[in-house]
Amino acid sequence: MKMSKLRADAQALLFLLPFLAVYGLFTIWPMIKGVEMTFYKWTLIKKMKYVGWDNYQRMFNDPEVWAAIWHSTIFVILTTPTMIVLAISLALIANRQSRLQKLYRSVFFLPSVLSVAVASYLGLFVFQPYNGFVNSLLHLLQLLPANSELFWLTEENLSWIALTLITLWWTVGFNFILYLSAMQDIPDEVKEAARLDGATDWVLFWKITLPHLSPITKTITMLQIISSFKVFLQIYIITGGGPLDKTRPIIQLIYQTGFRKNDLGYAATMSYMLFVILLVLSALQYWINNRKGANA
Amino acid sequence: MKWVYRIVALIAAIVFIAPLVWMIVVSIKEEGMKIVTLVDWFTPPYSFAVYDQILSGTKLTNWILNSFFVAFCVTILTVAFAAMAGFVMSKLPFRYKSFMFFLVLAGLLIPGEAIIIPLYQVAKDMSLLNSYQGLIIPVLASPVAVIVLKSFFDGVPNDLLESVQIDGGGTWRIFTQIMLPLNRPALASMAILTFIGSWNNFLWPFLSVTNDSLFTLPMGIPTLMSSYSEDYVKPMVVNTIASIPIILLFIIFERQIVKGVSLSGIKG
Amino acid sequence: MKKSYGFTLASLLSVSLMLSACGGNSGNNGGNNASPSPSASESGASSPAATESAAPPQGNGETINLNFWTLFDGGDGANMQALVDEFNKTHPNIQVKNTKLVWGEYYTKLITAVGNGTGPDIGISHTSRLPDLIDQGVATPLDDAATAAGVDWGTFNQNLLNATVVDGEHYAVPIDTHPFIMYYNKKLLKDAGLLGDDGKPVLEQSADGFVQFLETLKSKLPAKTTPFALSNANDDPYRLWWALYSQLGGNDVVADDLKTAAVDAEKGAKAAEYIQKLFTNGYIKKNDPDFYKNFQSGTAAIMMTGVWATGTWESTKGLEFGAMPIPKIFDQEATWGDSHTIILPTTKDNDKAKRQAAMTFANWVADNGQIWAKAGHIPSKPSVLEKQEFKDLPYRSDYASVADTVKFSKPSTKVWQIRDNSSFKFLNEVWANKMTPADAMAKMQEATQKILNE
Repeated sequence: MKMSKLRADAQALLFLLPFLAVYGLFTIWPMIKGVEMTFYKWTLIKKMKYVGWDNYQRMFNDPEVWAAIWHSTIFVILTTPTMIVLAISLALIANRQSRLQKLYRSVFFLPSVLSVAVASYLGLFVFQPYNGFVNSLLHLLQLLPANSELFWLTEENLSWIALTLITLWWTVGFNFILYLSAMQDIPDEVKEAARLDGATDWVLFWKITLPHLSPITKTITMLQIISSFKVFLQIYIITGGGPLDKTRPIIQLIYQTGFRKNDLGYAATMSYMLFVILLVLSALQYWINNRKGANA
Repeated sequence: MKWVYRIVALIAAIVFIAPLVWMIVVSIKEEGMKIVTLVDWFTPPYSFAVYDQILSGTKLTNWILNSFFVAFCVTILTVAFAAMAGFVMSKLPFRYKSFMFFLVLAGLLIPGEAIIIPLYQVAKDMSLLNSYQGLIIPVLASPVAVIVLKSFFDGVPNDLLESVQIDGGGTWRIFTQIMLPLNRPALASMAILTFIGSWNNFLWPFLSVTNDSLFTLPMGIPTLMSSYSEDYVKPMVVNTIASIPIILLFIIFERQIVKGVSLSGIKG
Repeated sequence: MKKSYGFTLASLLSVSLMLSACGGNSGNNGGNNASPSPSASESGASSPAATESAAPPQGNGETINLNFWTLFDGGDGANMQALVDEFNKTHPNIQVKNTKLVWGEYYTKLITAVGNGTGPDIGISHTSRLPDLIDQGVATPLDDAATAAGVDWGTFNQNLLNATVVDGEHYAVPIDTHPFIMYYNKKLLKDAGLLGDDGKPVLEQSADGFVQFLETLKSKLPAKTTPFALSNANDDPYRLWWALYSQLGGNDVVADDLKTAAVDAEKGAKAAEYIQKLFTNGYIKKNDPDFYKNFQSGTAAIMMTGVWATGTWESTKGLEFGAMPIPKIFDQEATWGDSHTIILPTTKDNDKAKRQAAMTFANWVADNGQIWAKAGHIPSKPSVLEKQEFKDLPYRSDYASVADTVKFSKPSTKVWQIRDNSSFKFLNEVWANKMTPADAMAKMQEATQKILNE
């Protein structure tokens, strides 16, 4: 019996080995290694010298770090609610009986398969002044006077709007599909019964559809918050973090500190700050999902 | 009311597709033409000269292949590793099981971006930088996939497994002949999500590779955008070429992709 | 049970095989890098050594292969490729492979790659970036290799050369100077009545004179025409600011000790205010997304940028342009400029033969500055300026003298960081009229000091 238990362990280990090896080497070990790095001045070329808690002290007093965290937060605040509203609206459109139903589903999801670089560069040119798509469309529709331009990429507020719109366009597809399938799960009898009771579409939406969507909305909200907080490439390509670093997210600052300024130790320290933030957010998600006995 | 719905739907669809149409139209416009209004983008002269220039003069096609190759390797291996691990944690008894589960669960909380700097150092120490191995191996462990697949595996009744065992089937047979086929939709869903994740992975390839023969699309595309001039045609050609293969894939596999994505929402 | 172990092992094995198959491809792709732009092939004939045997050197075993990383774009990129092709043709025993990196990421990639032992044999560095690369251990001293390759340091412009010497050792081979100059569209200037009989602009060299010049252009030319094509952010307006600041007598933003920020607030603000007016008066198209194209397509009267644009304008059909030093707006002539140099980065083995071959290449590039000059740059060896092939190139002689008035930055290791993270940032705000010049100078002083302290 003892023998077989050992065997069972060995067998389990063999199955686990590929995953564990990669996981240990490239997730757990860097986690530990990173702690060491935070206590050193560490460049791309080599480990330089021990600096104690300097990197931490510097981080807590560095306004650039706090600004970057705030910018990532702004991005979360801008994209999360709009994402939910847009995804539900699109799902409502695609869920209605229509000859174009399939087409709508394809069109709304299509941008999601584009490479992030393609989506970002397309966004960059769509929002260029003068000959960019948006401005020239506004000119054509005479919504914008001929001699004035909206500088989407160089005005702080406009660039947030542009970044949000591009991100929504590019990523709403996934959430749209999740909502669509949730809506299709609503039994037809329930709706029919409500209709017979004289409920309008409007009432149907508020009283039946929306409550039914609430569990998936919780999941989407949390996933959206976490992934938005990790935004980097769209912003890096579209505004470069400008104007005046006012749209620079925390990951861009980590990249610039580590690789542009050649200061891996300090960048690693900031990474731990990011880690703590994401940890709190994830824990929150876990807690919310498990609060009412929801299945994990 | 019906009309309002239709119009709103149509407008939404147009808004979603318009940037892509514009991208393609601009890409076939002759370079250096004077553009005064939006209409000018859509009028002749058209030209494919830039397509020729990009296809023969740059490594774009090479990068598309790299992106597919890396995404393909990553998808197969990630799902395989995760399925094996998920299976063990779901169906096999072994010591330290709860510790393992905790370890994997903890991994859910470690975002890749937060460990990217030390990861760079680790990969450097292991001489993994600037290689396909370096692009692929470090991203193969996905705790999310393990947990999700485990929860699907949990749904397979144990009676079924025991009946195979009575037939004299080993653990490996149970895994390959029962667990995997029964959970094909879940595996496909994980594969699709992993593929798209790898397709869009930017930070790690960007940091770990300097050799332009190894670039994937997200790193390669910015190198083709000139720093002096912001001409529209060339970038749009690059964008269009880079998008054609993945859009074709999407059209072919749309049903599976949509299914895969919606399935991921159930256990996510 | 035994069977299942076998399966697991087999699967692990096949996984590792698959991985090595994944990796196996990495070597194959290296060869097909050559992507010469169309214009590259035209430049071949002018080298003095072009008559030598051009037989491909394959198979004799002695060929030294060198990796060369460059950051050149557009016309520069094509000309550097032409130089490399010509060199490979005339030096069968040394084959240089040119890899173009993105300008904005070049130094990051170079330092990163050298750090992990995958760097190139030859690299490019701006003189202004050299102190940093030396400090990081990326650029190596090259006197040994230079002696072996027979490089005569006396043949270089000593001003340029001095900036590459640290503690008596040479760290780089300068190949050019590239100052910030002014281009003008002859046709548009003529339309505005501002082109003299000698084909040069009628322009009074003073603060008011230049504004008057632009005002005339603005009023006489059609509304769709831009008087002055200039980027609204980052490099070019910063270079103009640097030029005017230096014309006022400003001496860099760092003190001679290289540890203290020393923005001359009064002079800096005066220069910034002058440029800000050029923006607010509407001489410069607001947020012009493509100021190069603007001048190139003949819709802008003047434009200022580095000399590297000359080659691009020349190859543009129907563009009649002229080149000149930027006007003396304030007290003394001065402009912004930098210089490209060739460096030998640290490699794993620092192979002597490779380093010698690399120096042969570097010296050859400097010797054949007339090819490089096609892009617009001013060659680094005075003897090249005397070559007939150089003299035959138009425009260059109109601005070759500018090399003497270039105000280089001081050899701080932080030049680029200060520029990117302080000067650009605050000056951009001034150009956008969101910050007063005086505030910007105060902020620059503070930010520069912070960077120097780091």
